[in-house]
Amino acid sequence: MNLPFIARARQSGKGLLVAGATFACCLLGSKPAAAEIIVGEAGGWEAYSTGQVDAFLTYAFGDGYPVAPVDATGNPISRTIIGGGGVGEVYGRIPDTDPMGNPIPGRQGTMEQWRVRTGFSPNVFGFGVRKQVTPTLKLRAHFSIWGSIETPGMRKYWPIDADLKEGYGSIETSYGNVTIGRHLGLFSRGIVEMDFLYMHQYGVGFHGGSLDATGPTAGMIGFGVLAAFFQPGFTYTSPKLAGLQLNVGVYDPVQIAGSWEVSKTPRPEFELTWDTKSGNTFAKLFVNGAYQKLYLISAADDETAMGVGGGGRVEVGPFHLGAGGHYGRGLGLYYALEGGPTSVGSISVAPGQKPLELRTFSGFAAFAQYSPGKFDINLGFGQSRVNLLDSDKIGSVAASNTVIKTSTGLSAGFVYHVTDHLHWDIDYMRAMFRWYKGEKQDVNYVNTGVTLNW
Amino acid sequence: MKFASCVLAAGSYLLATAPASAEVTLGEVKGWEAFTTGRVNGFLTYAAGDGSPIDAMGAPNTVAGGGLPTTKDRVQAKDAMGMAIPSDQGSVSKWRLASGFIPNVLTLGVRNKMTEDLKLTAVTSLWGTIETRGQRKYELIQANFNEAYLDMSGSWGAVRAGKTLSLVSRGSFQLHYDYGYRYGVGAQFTLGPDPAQSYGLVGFGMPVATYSAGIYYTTPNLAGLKVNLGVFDATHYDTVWERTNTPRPEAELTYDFATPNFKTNVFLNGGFQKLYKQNNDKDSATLWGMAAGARLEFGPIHVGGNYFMGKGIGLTHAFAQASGHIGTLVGPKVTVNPITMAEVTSEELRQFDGFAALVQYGGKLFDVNLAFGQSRVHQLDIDKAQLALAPGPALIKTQTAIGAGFVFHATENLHLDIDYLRAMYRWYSTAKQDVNFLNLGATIDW
Repeated sequence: MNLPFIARARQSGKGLLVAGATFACCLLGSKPAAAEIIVGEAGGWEAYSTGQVDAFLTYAFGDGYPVAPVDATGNPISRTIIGGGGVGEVYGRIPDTDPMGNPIPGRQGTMEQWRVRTGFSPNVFGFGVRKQVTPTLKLRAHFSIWGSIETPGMRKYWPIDADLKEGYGSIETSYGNVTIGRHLGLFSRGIVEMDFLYMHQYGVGFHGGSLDATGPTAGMIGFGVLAAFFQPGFTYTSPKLAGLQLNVGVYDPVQIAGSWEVSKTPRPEFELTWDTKSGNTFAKLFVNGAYQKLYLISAADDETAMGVGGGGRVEVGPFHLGAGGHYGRGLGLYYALEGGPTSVGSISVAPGQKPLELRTFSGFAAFAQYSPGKFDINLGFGQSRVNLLDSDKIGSVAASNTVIKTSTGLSAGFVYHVTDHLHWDIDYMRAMFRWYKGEKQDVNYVNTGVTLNW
Repeated sequence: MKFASCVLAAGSYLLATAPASAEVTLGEVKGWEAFTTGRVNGFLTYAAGDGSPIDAMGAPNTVAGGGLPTTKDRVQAKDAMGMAIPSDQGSVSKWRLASGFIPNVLTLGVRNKMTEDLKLTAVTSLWGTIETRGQRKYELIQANFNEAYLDMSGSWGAVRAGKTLSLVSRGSFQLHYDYGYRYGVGAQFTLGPDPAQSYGLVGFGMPVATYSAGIYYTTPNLAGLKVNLGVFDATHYDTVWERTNTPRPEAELTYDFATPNFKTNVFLNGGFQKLYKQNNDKDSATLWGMAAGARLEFGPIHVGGNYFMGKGIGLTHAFAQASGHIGTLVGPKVTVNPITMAEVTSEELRQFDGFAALVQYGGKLFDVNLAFGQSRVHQLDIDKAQLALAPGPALIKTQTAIGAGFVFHATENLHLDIDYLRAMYRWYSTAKQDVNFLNLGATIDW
């Protein structure tokens, strides 16, 4: 069974954009399943299509992005809020005003925004061909094109870029499978799969770091869930041995713009999974990791971004439970290993401290779902945490800089499966951001919409 | 920019060499048959060699448009304090996971035999690399409608209209595709931040034909001879000669001959584009290019070569200025030769030429490919005069490459490749850069 799958986010300054991807996985399906459509056959090749279209009415409301506080005389206190956390709205801020209608300094105000937009999974057109070459060799090529329904910047004359999110081939043999091309990486794959299956497959969740952004939403990504991402690579998947399956791969290196901008070697990733199924019971455990060496331009220094993740889920009839977490250096809050201002410490440090040191991140998330067949009730909770460096505590910028400390999300949803292919969703999410110097921002999201898939 | 051709979809007149993939028929309604072809691939690539040339202060001392830029990836020698020595040209050593010479391609088409003497075909091809811009994984892979054209064909010939492979350098490109890099990678145009841009042997004896908006007519086959005549959307440069009035005529003459054990293909093509300046009705320049070549196939032994020349045609893309490379295409903005005091043409187009030779053993199970090519940029008189008076950033002189590849056809649809290319760049100064590219990957096509 091939299911559409979402996992993309952009961390850009204060903004988070999200988009999507497709992931072909074998999952224990309890809810109504979409089926691919066979569209042709010739010379042993079979062509097929999968996909979905969706639309949601969404409402976001809550606190405005934090601002520098003021002292007793009303003068601003020097404060730099390091970007990469929270929902950064400047134009959308609704200020708290004095009786004269003027904004009150030091008050972050509120914000609210209605949108009609794509959900956690965007519109997807999947197309592929496959051929059973010999009894033990099968070839497959798969493309998927992704696009949101809303345009960038809420400008309706802007085009929707067709995103060739997936373009891979797989060679399937009795010795295992090799996947080449642009496909989902391994690090953080298990927890995103959980978010998708138990919470946001037909929903919306967190909208991302900017309310006027385009692209698929984030679900619980950023709240204990790091997004796995689609990338160029080679992946080997072993045959399943007593439920155990090993995935190892190398992927195009990442780098961090503005700091660790050089990478020389590909990034190894792995995922080890174990699953078992008996009657109406299913269980799956996973552990995964990634490692990337990074360098500065024309300098001898180097850094290492690395992370591990793990978790498990259990399904007993209609009751589904799952949880997982991650830990590592330079991981970021949203896209795994996609560095930004939150990931990298200051270049101005005290003696003995390392400039541009990578921060350490951790997170955990838990999901529960009741899925008797005609409808689903979904619950999710997660928290991501950023750990301070020594240079964040002591040093030239320690007094003025404030770094996001935790992003905590609480989510609930109801999905009604009108047919196997038509799904109506209403979901709510509360996102709670806390910074190390006491700033806070709470934002609520209410979303409803429909998805048609095949 | 990815170029290369969806030759399978284009339905061109290529000689069949490597095992051919077949299209998949999607269905037929009211005489219209829908079909798909395409490919997916991925390569592990390694580039190692010299950093791009720099001066004593660490600034580039060459004109942009030649060599391999290594601004971010340069590894310089260290001084006693462990600090990078700014004047050291340094080296590069970089691995990537990237698309090959031809990226992922999804082609969908329909065709219908309307009458005994009229067949209609419409083809669209979506192209996309697997690697993103700047190695940022959140960046989109924008689907590139690289081909979208219609064909009308009959006993009277054929007309193609839409976005399709243009004629100048087409034969050379198809030669390089068939005998060298159909399933390989070759050189890279950049190590980043753009997608890796695998270029095969492009820039080393061949500027690639580009996919352009155009209309052209192909005559019926006359004893092996065919004439292609067309006009394509006008092209111009970005910062000088940035105005055009007329479309660009292009033509290609081909000759094919085949017996059971022998095939040959000969081609000659050319085109020109009149260029003007903004708010200037006085000056004009003619951008032109031509290419010729031939190939011979004796069973599995395939040999081919090509030559090109032209003014302002460039090293990599025929009739298309790569961003920031105007300094290689045109001369300085001066009107008087400072030595002879003779009047000179300001911003005159430079002359380019080059040649390449490819040899292939193309068996059913594997191919062995060898390639050699060189492109040259010729100095204008004003370039020589300025160089004699005060050396400035040097102009690229030659780009030479030698390549070798081995392709194993695991099945007729699965192709494993390993290829190597050594790129040697020389400037009109002492500057030089040598870079080695080693690539390994697989392609599935249908």
